[in-house]
Amino acid sequence: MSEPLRALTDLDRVIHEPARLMIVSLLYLTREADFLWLLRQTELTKGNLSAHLGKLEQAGYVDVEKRFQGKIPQTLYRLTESGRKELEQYRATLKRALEDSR
Amino acid sequence: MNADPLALAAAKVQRSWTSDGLADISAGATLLLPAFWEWGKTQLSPSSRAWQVLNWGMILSIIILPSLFQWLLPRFRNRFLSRRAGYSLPLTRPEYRRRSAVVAGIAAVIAMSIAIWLARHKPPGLFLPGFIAIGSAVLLCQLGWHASVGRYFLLAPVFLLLGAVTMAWAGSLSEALIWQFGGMGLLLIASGLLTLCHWLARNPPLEETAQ
Repeated sequence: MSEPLRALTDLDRVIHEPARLMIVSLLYLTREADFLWLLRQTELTKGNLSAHLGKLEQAGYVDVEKRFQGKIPQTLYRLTESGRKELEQYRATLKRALEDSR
Repeated sequence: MNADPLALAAAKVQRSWTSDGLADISAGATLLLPAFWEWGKTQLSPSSRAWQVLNWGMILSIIILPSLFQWLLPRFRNRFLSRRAGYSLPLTRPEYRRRSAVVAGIAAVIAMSIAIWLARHKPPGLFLPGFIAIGSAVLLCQLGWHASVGRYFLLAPVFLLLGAVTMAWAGSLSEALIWQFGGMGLLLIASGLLTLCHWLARNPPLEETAQ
C-alpha cells in the first residue's frame, strides 16, 4: 500500500464523521455562527446537531459562547485554531490519497 | 461529484446567502445609483460644479458600494433576519477571493473582446453597454452554477437582451449607461424583492435560537 493511502488510516475520526465534517467545513467559512444557522445549513435534527457540536467542543475544535440577543438566548460557535489546522490536514491527506489512487 | 468538503460547504453557504434576495437588492441598488447620477449629469452643463460632483459621485459609488454592501449585508441579516435564518459572520478565505478575481478577470476579457467587436461600427464608447451586459451575464451564470441559483440563469439572457437593445438604440454613451445600469438595477431589485417575499413566507421566525 502506498504512503498516501496508508495515511488514510490516520485520518482524524472526530472530523471524518460526515455530519461533523459538514459542521467543521461550514464553521471554517465563518468567523462565528449560531446554533440556528448551523441547524438550517446542515438540516440535522436539534438533538443530533447538539451531540455532534458537543463532540467537537470536547475535542477542542470548536469554541462555544452563550449570550442573549435581546431577550432571546443565542449560542455561538467558532472553529478554534486547532480545528482549522485539523481540517486543513484532513483535506490534504484525503486529496493526496485520492490523487494517488488515480 | 466534488470530493472536497470545503468546496461543497462553500457552495451551500453561498446558496444560503443568495436565498433571501438581499444580495440581488444590494447589487441592484449598486447599479441603479450610477444610472441616477448619469441621468442627473444629462440635466446639467458639463462645465458646472454640480456636474463634476455627480461625475465623481458616480465613480466613487461604483467603487465603494460593492465593498460597503459586502460588509453591511451579513450585519443586516444578523440584525433583522437572524430569528429566521440564524446568525453567521462570513470569513472570505484568500483562496476563494483569488478564484473569484480570476473568474471576474476572464469574464471581463471575454466580454470586452466581444463587445468591442460588436460595436466596431458604433460611436466610441458604445461598446460599454455590451461589455457590462456580457460580463454580468457570465458572472451571473457562474454564480448560478456554483451556488445552484436558478433565477440567475433566467436573468443572464435578459441582461444580454438589454445590452443588445441598448447598443442598437442608444444615441450616446450617457444614454446607454442610463438604460443599461438602470435596467439591470431595476431587474435585480425586482428579482430580489420577489425572492425576499418568498423566503420570508417559507422561513417563519423561530422562538429559540439556542440549544
